[in-house]
Amino acid sequence: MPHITSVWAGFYDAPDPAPIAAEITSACADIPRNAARLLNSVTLAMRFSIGSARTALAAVQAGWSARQPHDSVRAIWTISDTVEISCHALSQSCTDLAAAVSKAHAEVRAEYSLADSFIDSSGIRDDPSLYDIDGMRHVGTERIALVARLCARFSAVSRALDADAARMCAQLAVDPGTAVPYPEHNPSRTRHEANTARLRSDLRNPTGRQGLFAAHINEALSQARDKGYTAQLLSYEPNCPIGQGGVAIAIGNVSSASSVSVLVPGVGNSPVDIAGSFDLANELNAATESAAGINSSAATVLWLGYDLPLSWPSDGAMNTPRASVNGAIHDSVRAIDATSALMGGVLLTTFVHSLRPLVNGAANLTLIGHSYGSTTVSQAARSLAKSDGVDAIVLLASPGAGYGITTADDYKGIDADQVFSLSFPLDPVPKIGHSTVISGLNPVTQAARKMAFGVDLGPFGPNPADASFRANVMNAPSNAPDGGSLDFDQHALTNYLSGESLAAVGAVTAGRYGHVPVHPPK
Amino acid sequence: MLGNLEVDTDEIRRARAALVDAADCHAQPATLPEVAAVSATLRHATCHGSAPVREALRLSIQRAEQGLEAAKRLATMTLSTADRLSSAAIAFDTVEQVCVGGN
Repeated sequence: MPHITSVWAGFYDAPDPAPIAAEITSACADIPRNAARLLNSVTLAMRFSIGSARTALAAVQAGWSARQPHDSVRAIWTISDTVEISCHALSQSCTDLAAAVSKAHAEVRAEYSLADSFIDSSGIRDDPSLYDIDGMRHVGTERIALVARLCARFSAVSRALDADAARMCAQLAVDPGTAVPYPEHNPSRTRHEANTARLRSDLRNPTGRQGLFAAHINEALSQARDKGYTAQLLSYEPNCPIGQGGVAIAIGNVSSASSVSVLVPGVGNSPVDIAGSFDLANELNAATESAAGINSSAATVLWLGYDLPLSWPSDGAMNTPRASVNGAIHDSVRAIDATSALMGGVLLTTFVHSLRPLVNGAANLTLIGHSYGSTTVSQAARSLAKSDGVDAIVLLASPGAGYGITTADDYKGIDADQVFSLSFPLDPVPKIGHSTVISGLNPVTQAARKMAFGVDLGPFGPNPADASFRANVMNAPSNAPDGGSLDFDQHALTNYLSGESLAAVGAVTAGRYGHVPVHPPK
Repeated sequence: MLGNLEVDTDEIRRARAALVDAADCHAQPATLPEVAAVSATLRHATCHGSAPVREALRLSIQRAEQGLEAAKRLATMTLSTADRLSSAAIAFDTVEQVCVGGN
């Protein structure tokens, strides 16, 4: 039941204090309180371990005159000490945050309680007699003043809490584990070695398209090495999906990265051209590390594991003239709706399930889709659960979010708050995606969509950059000059991953969501 | 240049035992059921509030997870060092036995 002041706010057409109060009280103090408990348990564990590490150092110094063993044992002592200090400070910050949230809750309760007391003591709860004009005027003035006072008080509480939260964000900026080296066992490297063994086997017996595919992937890995990149072959499927070949190559070490992104490109890209995106992945890593702060490390996985429409000219899947013509027609039809993205979403979900065990448990994991790839990412996100550990999705230059999705709230595994989209105003593809011409090209699938999903939101689904989708729409200008109508430079992935838009995406992949420039909700 | 090496394998074994104790301490948070329960609660928590508050809440969750991960990694590193000390003590004893046998 709404508080009487909200009823009055409606009646007198004044700003309602309740939404401000609700935003304050919706913040859960148990989150930082529990985080503090966990950090405290680590602090205590480190503190207890230091005594044993000190004993170990004394014993090894007494028992072995060489210096290296002393250094190894001393390192355990000093690292334990560093982690203890870091976790203790973080635990204190979390406790302070919980206290700030609880204090704000208490202030909201107290303000409402004071308001209730004032209402009772001043006799403004009940309406005066209809004939008492002065009484009505007096009561109205008092009520409006009280509502305005409550709004002002809650706004002040909210501002104070925001200031405390911003200060805590600065104090919580450091990963407490940066001092602890990663074990030599590196699961992403193990996966890479297993896949490169299969690749080498295909190179030894190069037959047909599979041999061509292997040669291209081998060349891509060699180009990455020449540029000094750490490249990990995380998926190598020369015949899947549907004979095109699928591949995932990470630029950066996935197992030791504090932020991992999976970048899914759209139509016209081919697994055999993957090397062309390595520099872009490296730039995204740099933007992520810059947003995340000191001691962070990033890795970007280029995932071309779905049946990308219009990638046939370069992947050699159609290796005879007749097959090529048939393939071109078939591929072009597939590019005009989200069916391939629906299937691709299933494959991407499977890939995410196989990727998460390779990634450090505390690392941020973000899925980024560009163009048709954004539709694929959205379709994967539809079936992801919270436990799958994807923190955020970014939909760039999207023709649509695909089927079975109406708003960002429909993703069960990802908070709507962490769904981001960006479409440059002059990019033709998001517009083409929602044109009635495209929609009418394939009436059969139009009818099928209506039957399967109950509603037809177009061949590519809803536009994630529309306010009605309720995603965070990033606020960054295009980096390409206006080239007139149908300017596909506006649509290029390189345009989206440069300048301010790259920095915005980097803030998402670093998990610094508060630093992402977004348009205010409409 | 090689210098004279002085070794007391009993002390090395004492160092190893102390490191195993240290590794037990490091690993303890990850083995406590109440820590696992709190960690699971945090993993599924949804952060509400204004943008700065949500950011701070998310960071608190992330730092807690990273703290636990750090403790686990440090336990692995400490155990690995303890294992290396143990191997060294065995190797030194073997060398000594060979030398004594040779004399």
